Parts: sequence; C-alpha cells; structure tokens
Amino acid sequence: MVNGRKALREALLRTVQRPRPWALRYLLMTLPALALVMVASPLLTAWFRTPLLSEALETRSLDLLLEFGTNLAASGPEGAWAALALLALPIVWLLVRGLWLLVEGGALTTYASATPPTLRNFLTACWRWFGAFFLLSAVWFALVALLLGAALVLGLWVRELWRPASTLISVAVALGMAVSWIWVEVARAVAVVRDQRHVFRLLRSAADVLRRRALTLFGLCAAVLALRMLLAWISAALARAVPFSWWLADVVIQQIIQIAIVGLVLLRRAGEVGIVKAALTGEAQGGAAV
Amino acid sequence: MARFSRLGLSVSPLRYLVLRLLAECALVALFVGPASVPLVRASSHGPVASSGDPPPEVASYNITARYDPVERRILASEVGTYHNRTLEPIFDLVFHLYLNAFRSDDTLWLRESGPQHRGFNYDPNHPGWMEVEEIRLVDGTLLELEAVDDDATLVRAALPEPVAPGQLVTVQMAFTAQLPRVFARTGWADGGDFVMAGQWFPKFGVWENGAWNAYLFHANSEFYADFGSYEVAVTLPTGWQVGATGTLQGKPVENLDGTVTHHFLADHVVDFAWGASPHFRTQERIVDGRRIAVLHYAHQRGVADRVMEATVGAFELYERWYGPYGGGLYPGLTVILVPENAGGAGGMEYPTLFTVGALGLAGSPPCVRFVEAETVHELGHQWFQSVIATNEAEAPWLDEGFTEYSTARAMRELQPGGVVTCGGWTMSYLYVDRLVYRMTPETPMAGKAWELGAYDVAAYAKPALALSTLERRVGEGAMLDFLRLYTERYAFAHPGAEDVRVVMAESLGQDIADWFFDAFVSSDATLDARVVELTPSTVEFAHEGALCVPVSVVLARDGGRDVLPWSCESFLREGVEDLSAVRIDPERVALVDLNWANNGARLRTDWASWLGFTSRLLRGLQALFRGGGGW
Repeated sequence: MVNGRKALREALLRTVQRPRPWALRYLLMTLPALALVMVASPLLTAWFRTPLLSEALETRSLDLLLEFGTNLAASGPEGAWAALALLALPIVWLLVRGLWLLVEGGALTTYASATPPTLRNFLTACWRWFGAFFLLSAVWFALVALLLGAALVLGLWVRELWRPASTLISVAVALGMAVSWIWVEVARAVAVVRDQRHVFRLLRSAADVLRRRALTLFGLCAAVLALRMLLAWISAALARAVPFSWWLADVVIQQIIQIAIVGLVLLRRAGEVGIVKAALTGEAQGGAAV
Repeated sequence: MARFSRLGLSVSPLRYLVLRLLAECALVALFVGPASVPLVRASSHGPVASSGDPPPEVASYNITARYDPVERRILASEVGTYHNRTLEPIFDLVFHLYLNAFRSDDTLWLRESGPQHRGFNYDPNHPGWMEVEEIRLVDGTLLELEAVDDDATLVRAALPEPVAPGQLVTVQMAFTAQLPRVFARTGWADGGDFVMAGQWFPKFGVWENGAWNAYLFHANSEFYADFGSYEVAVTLPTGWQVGATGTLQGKPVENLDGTVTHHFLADHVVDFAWGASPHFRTQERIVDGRRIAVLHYAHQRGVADRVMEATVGAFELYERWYGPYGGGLYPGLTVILVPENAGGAGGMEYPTLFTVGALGLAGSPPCVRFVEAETVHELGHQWFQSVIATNEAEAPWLDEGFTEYSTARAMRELQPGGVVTCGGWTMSYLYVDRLVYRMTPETPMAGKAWELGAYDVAAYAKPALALSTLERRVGEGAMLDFLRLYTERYAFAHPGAEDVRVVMAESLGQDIADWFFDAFVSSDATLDARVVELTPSTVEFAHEGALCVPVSVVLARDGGRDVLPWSCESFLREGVEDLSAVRIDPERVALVDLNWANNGARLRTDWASWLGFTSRLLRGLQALFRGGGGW
C-alpha cells in the first residue's frame, strides 16, 4: 500500500540521493538569470549615484520608486537599457522553459530507474521524452483555453442571474487548471514508467491512475503545496527583515530558498513517479490495491 | 465628489490624455455656443462670522415622493420655501432641474463629458429627465416656468410680486423625475432594485447680492445651495431598506397598496439624497451618541466592515481637527456602499450621507486601501461641503482640495504604512495626487469648475499638494490651528477664497498667505529644483519655474554635513572640501517639485545598494524563469 506519507518519504530520498536533476534545474534557472543580471546591472550603476533610488529601495517606498521610474527618461541611457532588457525577457523565458521541459525526461527517468542513470542515459532520456512532453504541455494549454473560454461564456450568462456565480466559476476554473496540470504531470510519469510515447494513451492511463490513486496524489500535492507556501512566507519575511544594502546576507538566504523551491518541485515529480510505478505494478499484478 | 472618480485617469496617462483631449474639445464647443453663459453673475460673500450662531434656513422643502421600481421614476410633489435674507427684493425664482442633463447624449453636460463619467458610460436607452407638471404659489397663482438653456437644467419663473427683503416665498409643484441607469452620481441599477436618488428634485438657486447664483449643469461641476430644512416622505415597495439625508421619523408607514412610506427630517442641510434597495443590509455603530450606519448588499459585508472602520476612525480625527460633526447639529451619518454595477453612484457626498464604491473594489486585498481612502475622502466632505458649504461651481478647490488634503492627512494617521502596503512596499495617498499633478502642473487652482483645463489637478491634486506643502512649511500644529479657525469661523457660512486668505493671514501670517495664494491658487507656475553639477569641490543648483518653495539643502562632506536654507535663487558654491553628496529639500517639503530624482547627487556609486538591487534582480529573474510560482 502506498500512502501519501510513504510516497513523500520515498520521493524525498530519491530527490536527495539522486541530485543531478536538482542541480541541473537550479543551474538552468540561475545561469540565464545571472547572465542577464551581469549584462544589465553594470549598465545601471549611474542610477546608484542618485540618492532618491537608494532611499526608495532602503525604505521600500513605492512613492520614491515610482518617482524615480517616472523620471527615467530624463536620467540618461540607463532607461533605454532597462527597456531593452525587458524586451529580451520573453525570449529568454521561452528558451529557459524549453530547456526545463527538455530536462524533465531525464529527471523522471532518474527517479523511475532502480539505479541512477549514467549521464549518457540521462541525456538520452531528455531527448527521448521531449517530443511527447511537449505535446502533453500543448494539450494542457488547449484544455486551459477551453476551460477559460467556457468560464467566460458561462460567467457572462449567469452573472446577471446569480451574483456569487462569478466567484464560484473562478474557483472552479482554478481547480480545473490545477487538476489538469496534475493529470499532465502524471501522464509524463506514466510515459517514463511504461516507456510509452502515445500522448492520448498516456492521458488515458494517467486518468486511470488519477482516479485510482486520487487521495495519495492529492495528498502529496497538498503536502508539497503547504511546504511551498511555508517557503514563500519565510522568503517574504526574510526579504522584509534584511536591509536592502545587506546584499551578501540576502544572496545567501535567498539562494538557499531558491534551491529549496527547486527541490520541492522535484520532490513532487519523484513522488508522482513513485505513485505511478506502484499503481502500474499493482495493475500488472492483477489490479490489487497498492 | 470623490477624487476616486478620477483615480483611473490618474494612474493611466494614456487614458487621462484621451479624456483631457475630449474635455478640451468640449471647452472649444463651449466657446462657440451660448450654453456656458451663467444666468446671473455671482458675487463673493464677505466674511460671515457665524460661530455659535444658529445656521440660517434659507431654502426649505417638503417633498412627498413615490419611487416606481418598474418605470424607475419618482413621482413627487414639492413645497419649497425661499427666505429672502438679503437686502434686495427677488423678482423671479430659479430652479435647477439637474436630471435634464441626462435627457439625451447631446446635452451640454454630456457633450462636455464625453459622454462618460469616471469611466462609466452614459446609456442613451435609459436616460434621465425631470418634468415639472405644475408650479403655483401657495395662494394658487399659477407660475410659468421658462427654460434658461436648451437642456432645461435651469428654469426660471417670474413672480407676480417681488419677495421683499426678510420675506418668504412658497411654491408648490408636482414633478416627475425619471432616473437614468446609474450615471454621474444618480440613477438605478439591478433592474431597478437599487436606486440612488441624487439631484432628483427641483432645487432653488442661491439668491445673493441681488442676483441668482445658479449655473447651467456642467460636467465638471458640482453644487452650491443654501441651507434649509427638509421634510421628505419616500414611498417604496415593502421590504426595501432606505438610507437618506437626515433622520428617519418614527416607524415607516405601511400603505394599503403594499408600499411603505419612510419619513425623513433634516435641518440645516444644503441637499437631500436617498438610496434604497430590497437587498440592503445594515451595519450600525454609535460614536459619541451619533449613529453611523453602513448600507450594503449581503455579499459586500467584508468591504462594509472596512468602510465602517475607516468611517469611525476618520470621524474621530476630523472632529478633533475641525470641530464637531455637522457643527454639532447632525444626529447621524449614513454610508451607502453601492453595488458593483452602480459604481457611477459611488464616491459622492451629501449632507449626513455619502456613497462609496466608485472603484468597484469589492475584491481589493487588505493591503490595498483605496476603499478606505475613498471613505475617508467622502467623510471629509461632511465638514467642507456640508457644513462650510463653499460654492463648488465657482471655486471647486475650496471643497475638494481641502477634503483631499484632509484625506491624505487622515490616511497618514489611520494607516501609517500607507494606502498601499503590499509585500513590505508602501505607497502614500498623497503620492497619487503627485502623480496626477505632474501630468498637468501648469494649472491654477482658482476658476470656475468647467473652465479649468485640468479639473482633477485644479480641484484635487494641486490643492492637496499645496496645502500639504504649506503644512510642511509651517508645521502640523500651526496648520491645524489655521484649519480649526477656518472651519469654526465659517461653519454654515459659504466662505469664498478671499475668506480663506484672511484666516490664513490671521493664523499663519500675511507673508505666508500671500505666498500661498500667489504661488498656488492663482498661478500656473511650476517648480523643478535640480543639481546641475557636483565635483569634490563645487556644487551648483538650478531652480526652474517661477514657483518658489523655500527649502533646505544638504552638502555632505567626507567629514560631516552642512544644512543650508535655500530660497530658489541660483546656487553655486566653489572651494568646498571633500564634497561627497548633495541633496535639495531632503525632507521633501516641496511636494510640487516636478522631479525629485534630480534633487540629489553622489560623487560615488552607492555600491551596497547596487549589490542589493543586483541580488534582488537575480532572484526576480530566477522566479520568472522557474515559472508557475515554483510549482
């Protein structure tokens, strides 16, 4: 029997004992960010000869920050650089998200294998699953678009009849998006565990796993979500407590938190793989409860 | 009227520019048409010391009204009495029929406005209008009403005999008020189940100095009226809750036709408004013997709690600063939180009643307190609009400006963190005014409401910043002394700008009063103080614009700092040793300085801040690339 607690414990062990996906994911997130920062930040040093900006950041004053921002045009070429950096962001974002999806196959294979894969096997898995995972993501986006469209039509129709409808519809849409996302994630896990790439079969199997292991899966997700919220709260509290100019303390604290957040994401993935493996093994053994 | 009517404009420069363009087109239209000509020339009041005097009842009304929720109209009879307290006889009567401004989309009001108001569109399928079926003197003499303008927002009736000084004239009339779908403070929503009746009855102009002070209804203008006593009976369907100016008299009377009549009495007020709905719930609080009620829909309970807290908090502050609520004469206060689809009726003040909800902020998080600020602003009008009762058509800044200043001040005390305190970042209420002001700073405060190029700046933002600048210059204590003297002396007295100037001179000194009025009220001058050059031994400041606010400058050296007064003249100092940084006006006394970012300079980069910024930029980008909140 795989319960939520056991799934979480086993996932934690897998995540910690097989740290390659964790390290890769952190680097994939950090290196592009660092590259952008190293390009953009030195261009902005002139801003920090303006006492107003230092004061705005130190006192966390939106008044002064807005004042500085709305006068950027008059402050020299830095404003243009900042605008250019903003324009580059969506492109870099797409690239990073693509790379993240590429690594997903390797990460899930790492957690699904009896022994940690070699680097070569890891990279092969990344490539092998990329296409299927990409299609699964596309399916999710299509689902979300459908969901939002239906909610919009329904909302406009019902709003006049019953006032709380829009709130209920918003909650239902959020729930629908979350469940469909877990569905797609489970489908990825099924793909790796079953070595199967047919997207619709994967979705069907995932739906079956989701139905049979709903409590365990949502228990795992709820636990990870709770930990994520705790991290967010700690991060926000520390960000407020650490003075702006204590940059070294901020870097250390916040990077530890970033690493922990990436770990949590992978903890859930490892847990899902564990649950899927157990479910499919049980199925192979005659559908007994696992 | 709420400054919130314009908040959407304030924070969206593009929208603001578009609307301003429309307003300017409307002004051009005014110059080519006769509609902007006032009926009579108003003359300013002299100072009227009224402290301790019972307020005069000049224009009094007895109205019996029945609301039809199907037709969304009010059928009413009105007995109006005007007391000629001047030394000049009155030869005719003048009435405002405000609702006629919404009769069709080609009225003066709607041509000036767009036709929209605060981002809410006028619905030509559901217009508003008012018709007086008959008007007679009490002796039965029939009077003839003559429209002054094409829209008949102002009508005149010649009298068979003049009303001598000290005499009264009483007229009785029957009228129908067709309410529009909620627009510009008044109307119905929810298919007729919500009604906010503002500017809904024929109302006397103001007779002063031998003429009627009464203007056509313009988009950028509010109201001016005499004090009076109102007895109003409002008949509504059974089960409806109603909030109105004044106090409810006895229990509502159930009629045989399934309706209920609510009787209200209000003394010493300049207007009467009411709002009703079968969906209203009521929250109540007693503050020093005065009943404060918040009427709201059931699903708005959370917002209503916030509105009540803000009302009670600011009520106590305003009483401490400006004297008793309603000059000690008003027994209660009603707040109507309008439903989301009636935002056009929100953010408006009437005597003993105001509405909230102009921004439709039902779902605003607790760290964003614009609904509280809107409440505090509308409450402030209870002192400046309802009791001091300046002429909002001729000098809108005297009401909106003082109220806006008071809002900023009250919000500072009630919410020390600011009007926004999200994620550890804060924004002050006054900064919203600064953002608005900086869009059109070349705007004098004085002028008729519809002649001001940028009404938001002239009536709200600039006066709030100017009064706050004055406060920072003279100190909070002196400012409060001045305001207390002004509010006490001119309670129920309709002061003008010159009266404010006199009190300011008396309280803060003639120099200060002259400076304030010359620099801000009548002037379109601006101010931008900036550091031109900084080297280790030389510093140069420049002052651009003709507006001068004396401030201090700080010269920081490696071994210490000098603080010097600066009165706007060119400033060049050479031969200073080891200069490291300079700052003009570090306390930000000059809230009207167009650019604070150029007020200071350092010789060396603040590396600690830069690294702190870099660290946070890295984290922000990591979060962005991680996506989905790390999920």
